[in-house]
Amino acid sequence: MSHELTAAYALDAVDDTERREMEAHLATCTDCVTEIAEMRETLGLWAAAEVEPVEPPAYLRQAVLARIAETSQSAEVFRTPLPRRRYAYAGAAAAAVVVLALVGVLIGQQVRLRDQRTRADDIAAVLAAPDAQLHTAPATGGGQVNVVVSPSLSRAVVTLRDLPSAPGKSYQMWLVRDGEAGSAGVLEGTSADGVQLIDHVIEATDFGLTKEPAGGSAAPTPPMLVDIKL
Amino acid sequence: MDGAGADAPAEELLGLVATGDQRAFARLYDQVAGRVLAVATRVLRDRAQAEEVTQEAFVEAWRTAARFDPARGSALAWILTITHRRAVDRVRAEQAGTRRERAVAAPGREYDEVAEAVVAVDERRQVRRCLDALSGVQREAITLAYWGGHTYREVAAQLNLGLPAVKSRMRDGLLRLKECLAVAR
Repeated sequence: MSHELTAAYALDAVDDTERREMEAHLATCTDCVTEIAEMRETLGLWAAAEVEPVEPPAYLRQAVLARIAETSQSAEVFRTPLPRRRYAYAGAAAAAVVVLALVGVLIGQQVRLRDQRTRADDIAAVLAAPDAQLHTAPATGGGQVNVVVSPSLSRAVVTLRDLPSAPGKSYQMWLVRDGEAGSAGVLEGTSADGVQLIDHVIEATDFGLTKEPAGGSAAPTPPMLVDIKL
Repeated sequence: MDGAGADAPAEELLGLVATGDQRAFARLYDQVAGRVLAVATRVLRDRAQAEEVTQEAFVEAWRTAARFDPARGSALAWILTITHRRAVDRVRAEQAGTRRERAVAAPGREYDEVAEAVVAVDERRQVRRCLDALSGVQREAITLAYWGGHTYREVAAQLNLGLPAVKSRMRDGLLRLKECLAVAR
């Protein structure tokens, strides 16, 4: 009887008793585990596409990170029941891989589109953040670099003014963590005027800017035109 | 040194989270929190409760990260599964407490407005087309259950279907949705 309930279970549309019965049943039913995993993957893809991502407030991020810092983790590892029929399991696993790949592609597209749409809002949020800090420095060779960092959002807004154009080269931004510089983005074109939004600023100690061969480099080419301590 | 780059896939980050890596957790949060909060908000229709559920879901994800099996699916779907279940638990608790009749699964106005704003987005339309590939009853059964937080018994009553019928509509609908999404690729 539990077999009929896989979809309702995947939809969280069963009552507590049925949920417990299904979970007991899953300990011995490989096919059910696979089917429910595929249904949940499908539902996750569908749900993620059905909603517009909501910008979570900074206090929520802080609250979550504070809570996990004092929450111990369970050592219990997911155990797949041994397959009764190996060929069936292999087919199901292959199907799961297809769904997984599709989810990755669609989510990637969705994130890119969302980025374009909400970039202006994201920039405004950094500038308005209660913990926003302004760092400013002149760039070697001319021009001015301002960096507004919001640790709670883990984002920074960079404004670049009056930097000389660099024919055949690209300006590239860097964030230094633990003494290592990682790319924070290559600017389009050969000039560096404009506003940039940088993610994952948390734990970065420095912001840097260099001129690189067109298209950017894996590591910064000296000299750093600006090195701002964050 | 960091164990993964800033743009590491969520699955890789979740693997690191299982080892107690709080930085990886923060990155994972940044990648998926917007959709987690959106799903919770749509089920609960209450922003404050949705934020609480988002927090609970991420704490559960932290606690149980070792149970995530990348061979079984994506990290996003795994976290959304936790989120949805917690959101639905709240809907049920609220219903039990107040006996208040919840609106059915038609999205609230704010979601309609948002949905209109992005109607041109191709992949979203593709997902919608897949939903359109379902029969009306399949679609309603899945929508009522997933977004409305209803049990299949409640869905059966609302759609005037017997229990076996609603179970099979849900199952056939989900399988068809899965196939359509795979073909859409």
